[in-house]
Amino acid sequence: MTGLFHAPVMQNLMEQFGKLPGVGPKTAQRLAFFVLSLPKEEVAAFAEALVQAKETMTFCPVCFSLTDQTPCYVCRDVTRDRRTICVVEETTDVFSIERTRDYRGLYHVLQGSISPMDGRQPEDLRIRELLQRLESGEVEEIILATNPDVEGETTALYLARLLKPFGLRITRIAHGIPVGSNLEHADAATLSQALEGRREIGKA
Amino acid sequence: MVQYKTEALVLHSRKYKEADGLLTLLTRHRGKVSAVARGIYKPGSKLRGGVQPFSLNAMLLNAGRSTLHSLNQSDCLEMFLPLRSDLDAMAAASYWAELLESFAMEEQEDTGMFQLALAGFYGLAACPEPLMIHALEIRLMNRMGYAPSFRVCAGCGKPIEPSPQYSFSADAGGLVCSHCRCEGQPVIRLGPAVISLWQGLENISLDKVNRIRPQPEVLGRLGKVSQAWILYQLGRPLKSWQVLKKMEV
Repeated sequence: MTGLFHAPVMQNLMEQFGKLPGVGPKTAQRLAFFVLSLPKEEVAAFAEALVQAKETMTFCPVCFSLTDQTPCYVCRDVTRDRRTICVVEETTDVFSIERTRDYRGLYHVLQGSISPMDGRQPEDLRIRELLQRLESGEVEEIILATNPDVEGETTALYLARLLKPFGLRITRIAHGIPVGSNLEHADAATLSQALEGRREIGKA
Repeated sequence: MVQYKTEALVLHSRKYKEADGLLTLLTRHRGKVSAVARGIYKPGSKLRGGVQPFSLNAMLLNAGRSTLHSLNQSDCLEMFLPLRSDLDAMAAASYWAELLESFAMEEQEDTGMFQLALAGFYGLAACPEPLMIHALEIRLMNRMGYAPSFRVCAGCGKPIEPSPQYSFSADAGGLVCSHCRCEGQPVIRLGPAVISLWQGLENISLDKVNRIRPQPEVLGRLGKVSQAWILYQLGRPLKSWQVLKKMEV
């Protein structure tokens, strides 16, 4: 309907914004008019940033996270602990774990998870490349940090079984009550897993 | 807008829009229902624990004019934790959920189907073995009215004569006698032990399935027959079955 009231150029801009996730027609219209209100240099910088990101960003040939350099910053960093690989589903998970500043090992991004009901199978993921990384014999521990949903658990269980013959330490990230929440609103499964993964405190 | 409470098994959950989930539910009172669960992918969502696949929940839903219902509240009654801690169990549960999703009728009350689905998840949590999977497949087919013919020829209707080898044709609808078997017709050869096992699994209580110890070749043949039968009834292969076969390490 908006096409009746807007110039084709504006209509096109709104359609492009409308392609973004979570952006409906009204938001697209607001964003389009906001862009028009910006100085020309800022709009050019914005457009340039979009094109540059698309042209530059690629997958790291080692860990398969998104990067502008190959290999990525983590894989090139000689101070990182090369004996530990944290396996995650997506690049965004790498950013989340990096924000903790607690982990100093390497990553491997599977680029998805196994979903039997959606037909996503192991060969659709970067599992073969993970096995190739283990051939060097340098790795001692694999941390399975896939999401704690059915697909993530299936992927973790599959990897645990697949990696067993390598004789590595295979660990799974803990599941439990989020920091700052309360037990009243926690579901039974989370509580059960939190109890199962309890640890002793106050030990000197 | 009608609000209703029901027990529901979550068969499938997929992401919908930014932070919503699109659920396929098998409910006790309304059969198979599609529902949107808003905001379950947002951090701190109270609904998230009650929308996990292969879980039994007490749900409060809104039914509008569209076939897509909306989930208001959900309280998990049974999470079937053993299904989440073992790859074979998880794989078997995925397959069972897809079978139910494929065969259950949209918005038609079928308490028997709900009970079978629930019994199936309990059964797989206790014994995620191929025999249990086949027992569930057979019961589901029988419940839907798709039981193959083992006593009379599916072609001419004459009683099947005792024989050391029979021919099963999914296209024909069961066993076919030598007169009705056409040249080039795809058939699965099977012995009397396979038919006995199939008929035994129709009636045995699910908690006693693990007491049966069939020969591996009999079990393998039963699996072939049931897969051919399901494929014929459904008209398409099940995605989870294909993935599960590839996941066998």
